[in-house]
Amino acid sequence: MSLPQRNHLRLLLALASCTCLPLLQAANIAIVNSQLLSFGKFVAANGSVTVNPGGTRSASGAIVLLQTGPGQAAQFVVTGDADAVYSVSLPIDGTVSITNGGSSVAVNGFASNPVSTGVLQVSGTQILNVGARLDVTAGLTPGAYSGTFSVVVDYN
Amino acid sequence: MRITTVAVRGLALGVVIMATHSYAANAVAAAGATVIAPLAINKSANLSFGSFAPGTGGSVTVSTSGVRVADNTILSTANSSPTAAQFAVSGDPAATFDISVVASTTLDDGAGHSMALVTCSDLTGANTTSGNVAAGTLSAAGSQSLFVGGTLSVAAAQMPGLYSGSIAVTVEYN
Repeated sequence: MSLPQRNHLRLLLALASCTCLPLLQAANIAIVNSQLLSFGKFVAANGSVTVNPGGTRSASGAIVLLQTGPGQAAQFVVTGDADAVYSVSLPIDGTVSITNGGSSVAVNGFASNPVSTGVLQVSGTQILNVGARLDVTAGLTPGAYSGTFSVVVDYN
Repeated sequence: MRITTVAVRGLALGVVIMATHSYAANAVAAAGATVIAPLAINKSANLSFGSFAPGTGGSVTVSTSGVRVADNTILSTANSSPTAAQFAVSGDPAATFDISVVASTTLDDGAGHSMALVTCSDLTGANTTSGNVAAGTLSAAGSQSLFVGGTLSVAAAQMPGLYSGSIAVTVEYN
């Protein structure tokens, strides 16, 4: 191969690389949990404790919420391509529970903000908040309950 | 011609990588809750006004620290030890709670005679003689005392006898 031919080859390979590189960067979407979901402290009764994506806690039935344990929504940081649209997949009912020894309580009604489709900012990030409803029964054993749940994000 | 072919292969390879890349990302978060036992309240002492004579009619007050004061009544110390009522509230450490002490009630002798009782209360037994405490905070150990006194209205012609009644106290987390 002559020298001019080699330079020509390098140029074309460089052009090919330039074409591929932005496509590969756009493929990466990531989500990191930055704050756990907490239903706070309460006295059990038949009813539910709901923490909405904004972090506001409410209760139904005879459940008594304690001010000393306010609860909070989960928070995630989604990163990816600037202005990209992505979908949010939350756990469906009947799949998540939190436990304390042999006692278990179901976490249902997951909700998020943005609701089901998010748009990354120019910076390529967006905060995703997730709340849920804890379905409580009277006589639930006092103690600290814990568990985990998954959130999936995907480019549309 | 050969050079061009190489370049096209390079471009095609890049497209294949992109197409096979998985875009979805997953994060696991912890979820938690703390279930606590209901507040408990137990009486450890009764409110007692001791013995007294009606005099010209007036009142007998027992403060939250158990100090007894007469107003136009005649106090007797015989077989008599006035005490404030005392309650122990227990629950979740450092929790705040609402307190509801019934403001007034009636003591009767079981024979159709009665005296009106107006309650007073505080959290420390600080010689309070009027007004009721409405809120408290449990200690780091999860406890708090509650003291209840009161003022009994006595008629000049109050029938002698043993008068009794009950004071309802309700506490609830807030």
